[in-house]
Amino acid sequence: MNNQEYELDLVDLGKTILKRWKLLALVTVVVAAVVMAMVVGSNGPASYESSALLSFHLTKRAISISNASEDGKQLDSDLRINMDDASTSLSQRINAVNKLSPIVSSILTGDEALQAAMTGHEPEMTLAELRNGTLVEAVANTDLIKIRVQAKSPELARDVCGALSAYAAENLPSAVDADSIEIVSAAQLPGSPVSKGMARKAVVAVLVGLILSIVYVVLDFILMPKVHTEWMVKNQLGLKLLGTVPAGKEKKTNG
Amino acid sequence: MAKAVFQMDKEKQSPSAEGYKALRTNLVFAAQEQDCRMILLVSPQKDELAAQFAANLGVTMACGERKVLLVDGDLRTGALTKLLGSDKESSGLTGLLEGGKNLEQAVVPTGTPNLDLLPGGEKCADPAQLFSGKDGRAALRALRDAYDYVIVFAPDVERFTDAVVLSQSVDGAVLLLDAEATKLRKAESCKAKLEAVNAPILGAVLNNLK
Repeated sequence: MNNQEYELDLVDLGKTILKRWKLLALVTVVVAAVVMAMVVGSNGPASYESSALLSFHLTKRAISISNASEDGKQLDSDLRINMDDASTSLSQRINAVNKLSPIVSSILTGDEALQAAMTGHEPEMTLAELRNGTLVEAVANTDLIKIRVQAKSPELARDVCGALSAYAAENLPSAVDADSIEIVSAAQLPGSPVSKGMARKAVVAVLVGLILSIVYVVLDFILMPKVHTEWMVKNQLGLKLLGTVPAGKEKKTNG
Repeated sequence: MAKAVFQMDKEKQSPSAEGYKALRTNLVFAAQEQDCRMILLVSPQKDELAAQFAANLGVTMACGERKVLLVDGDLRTGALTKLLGSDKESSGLTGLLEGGKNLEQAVVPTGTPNLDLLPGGEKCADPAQLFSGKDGRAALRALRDAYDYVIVFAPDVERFTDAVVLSQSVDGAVLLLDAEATKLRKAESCKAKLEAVNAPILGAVLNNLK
């Protein structure tokens, strides 16, 4: 069998996709609109977020161990330097806090910390809701850790976030080998509800629409090929080829 | 004549002109072998270049002292008539087929020597009915006697049955395939429709080849 039957011209496919840009744009807009409408419709009640920033004053020993733990070769020298040196560099502190953040997160999203934080607010939210709405993470390029709490009301978000940061300041120093933990920025009353990642969802919706439309054009190209070679006329259509006329510069008409 | 139709004198060396000339050779050969002088151009699907192709083929065929008639069988849009244009009043194909009008009243010159146009005439709601009637078929066949070659342009087969009906009145049908647009399945379907009525298919032309 002639191999031409299985040839897929990628250049032609690319041109076809570009040529059908109107279809791509239309399908993308329609799908994006539908997806966004579904997302907005299923968002449920508004959610408010409050956050607090904690500064961890780690002991020199904690910083040294944390910085040395990744590389066995550096362990001895780093320990020697840092144990002997009175000060630690900012990069070492940042590195140490970054490595510490998963531990801090697991402690602060644990039952004990969350129960302490939501004391007095039990009727308003459950432990599971609070756990789902709490995020603890290191702030990039700093030695700070941020606590974010989402709740149904702005007051609840602020109160619980404040309580959680206070819990951290009081209970975590011994757990993470810190001299002290300072609340650099206390939890504030949020002004407006969180958007729940609407921008990201919009981008995803547009991408879904674009991908769907491209898949349609590609499938149409593959499953509904055009008669574009003499071989196809003779062998697939089984017709005598009377002639070929190359594309000219003539204008198109409405035939 | 509309600018879209190339002038053979000016563009006789272009690849397009060479393509039309090669096609003319094949059609002239078919005419000599099978007395095939009335040719129907059939598009499997809506083809924006079809009317232009018909006009260019007419211009090419008319070179060399052959009397050629282009028939605009698209009574819905009159695409070929619009493309070639004419100031002369004409009863067109509709007037000819419905009776009462003679060929001289229906045909208009195109400006190209030896090439006449039979415009579509008044729009018709059911062209297939007009083409399939006894008088209609006889009138179409009569065109053959007045010219060396008659090229009939018809609307696409995908949307309308006109071309299939017209195929019963011509000597041969040529499938016009746009290399940039005609789908294989549509072309196969078109061929099947023509074969179902035992239309004499001469072959195919691959137009707009890049």
